[in-house]
Amino acid sequence: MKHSGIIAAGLICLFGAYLLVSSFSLTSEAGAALGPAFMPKMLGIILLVLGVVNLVGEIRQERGRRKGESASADQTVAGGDIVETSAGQLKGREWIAAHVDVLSIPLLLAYAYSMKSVGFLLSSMVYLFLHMLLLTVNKKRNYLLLAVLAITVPCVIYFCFVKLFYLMLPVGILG
Amino acid sequence: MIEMIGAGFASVFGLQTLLLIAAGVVLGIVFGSIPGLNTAMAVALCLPITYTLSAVDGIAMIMGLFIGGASGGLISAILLNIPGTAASIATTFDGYPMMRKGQAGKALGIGIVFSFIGGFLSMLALVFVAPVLSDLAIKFTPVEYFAVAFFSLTLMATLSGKSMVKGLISGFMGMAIAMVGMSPIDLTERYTFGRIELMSGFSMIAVLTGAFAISEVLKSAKESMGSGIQKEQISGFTIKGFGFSLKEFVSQIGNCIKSAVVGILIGILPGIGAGTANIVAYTTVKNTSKYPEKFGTGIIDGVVASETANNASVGGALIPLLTLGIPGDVASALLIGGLMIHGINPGPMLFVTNAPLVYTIFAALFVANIFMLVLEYFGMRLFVKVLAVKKYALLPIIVILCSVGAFGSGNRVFDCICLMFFGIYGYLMWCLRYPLGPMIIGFILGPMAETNLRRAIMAVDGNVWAFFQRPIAVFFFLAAILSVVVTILQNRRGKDREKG
Repeated sequence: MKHSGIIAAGLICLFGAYLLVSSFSLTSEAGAALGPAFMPKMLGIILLVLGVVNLVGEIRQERGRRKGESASADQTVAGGDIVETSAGQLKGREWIAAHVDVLSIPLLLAYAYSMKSVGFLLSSMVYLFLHMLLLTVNKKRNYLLLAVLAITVPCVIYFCFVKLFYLMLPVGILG
Repeated sequence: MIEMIGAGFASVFGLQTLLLIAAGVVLGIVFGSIPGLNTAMAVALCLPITYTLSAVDGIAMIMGLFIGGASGGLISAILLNIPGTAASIATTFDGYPMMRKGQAGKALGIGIVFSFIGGFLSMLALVFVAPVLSDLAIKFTPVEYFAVAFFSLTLMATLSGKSMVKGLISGFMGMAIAMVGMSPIDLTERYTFGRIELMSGFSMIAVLTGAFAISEVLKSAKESMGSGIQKEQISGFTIKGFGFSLKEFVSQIGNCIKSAVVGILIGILPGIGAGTANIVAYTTVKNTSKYPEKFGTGIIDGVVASETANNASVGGALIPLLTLGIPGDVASALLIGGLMIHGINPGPMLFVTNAPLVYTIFAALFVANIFMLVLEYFGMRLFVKVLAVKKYALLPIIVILCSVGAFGSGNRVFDCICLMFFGIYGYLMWCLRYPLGPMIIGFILGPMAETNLRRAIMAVDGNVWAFFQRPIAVFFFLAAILSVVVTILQNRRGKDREKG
């Protein structure tokens, strides 16, 4: 993403400022020498300073890059066009394959959030199947194999931990 | 003493005891190698089983778990770039680059052999210098603990890689994440936003496994869409012996001794264990190396440092545990429970009242260490098979196993949700080129630094100069300054080399 370095550095500055400001509301009645606000205050100041240093560095880098680009752009206009059209052609499966990391994130979150209500076994089966579908988007799929894996693997894990190691896993609607 | 050691070995050499040690080692390796599961969990799960065994058998099995758990993490660290436990985080720094160069077998072989040597050296320390070292450890007041934590925090700079600013930001963010929950000493709620789940802070397993394992899953998912590099490496995997030459072994003896000393010393200090030892040893070896710029590119020195130190810290952690009754980490706290079940009270009197059992512990550790070497050597060909598992199945299964680990650490689904969020956080940090190593140091040592600083200030009535009147503390403060200076000089030299 464009400007991602600058945005991240800006967010770190904001986070540092938040820690610093919020630390003033942390008070303790215990009256210890260094109160609970000491650490947040220190970290707030340090992160704010480091964030600003980082921000300045990122802006400088970006400027340098832009200068370099504008100098070379005059010579390779045609090359730039080709890149753009090939990027524009990314459709359907190719687009999904190129963004597989971003698309995995909602799956991970849905898995974790559903575990309590649906239970470990069912949520793991659905998650495993869907994530395997996503990761095989640009390959030839054997749906039967994926389904068998999605059902057996969570069952084996569940059995090992619950029956052999006596670890409780959320049962959800099955319980 | 030699008679006692002999008697200890004699009590371990029964068929049942040996089998139990082997079972402990295998289970420890399994728990150590699966991200999210760790030694402490393995010990907790096996404690009820040891209750039904005799004292010797029960202790022998737990020692097997300890040794297996400390070295099992190297397998997933090297093969998948996911540390099995916090003890092998630094193993990924050079182990995984070695794997990518097609040297998976060599990296595993080196990891296994130096785990063995690290464990062996720490056992010698345990037998011969335990009483002396425990006398030193007892002199540690909050001032000294703060000094140690302060020194270790300066290692964030060493681990920063190319951009010191980004590394420091990552480290201080780790400290900020660790602040969530109740503040030390006065128990004031900090950044809990009224949520009960946040009052105990973020679970260490959720943060570490999320940042290292889940983020790696996202990374690998993206990579798996391109052309895979894996296939050729497996077909080309042949190994003779442990995969490295005698010359390479000899060249690493210096690194090995340095790392073992670091591991043992850190293991002795309660509150910091193998999770810190491997990173500190890695940075120590890097800082004293003739070619620090090669670290992280896949050289054996990095694997040697990390794996020697994490196993050395096992023996180290047992020193205060057996001589003073102070556990160094969760796993050793559980071990005290295991000993007490059998009527053994660790403490200064242990060597007087239960001397034969102490030597049984030493013998069990020694035997477990040998089992670890043998089992991992023959298991090596099996471990590499994990690379043959198709990425599309392997990655989601790792996520499920991590979730089991996160859930098991506190019996809360909330920890699984945190696991995913820290995974996303770790992935974003990687995308934006912020190193993750410093974050772990900040997260583990931040609370230790804060707690001991506040305790120390109270102990000296706010007179900070009293900090500099204690020789051990001054030593660590000087070491901290030295560490920062060395890092800055090395960074400059590295930049000059790049320009030149």
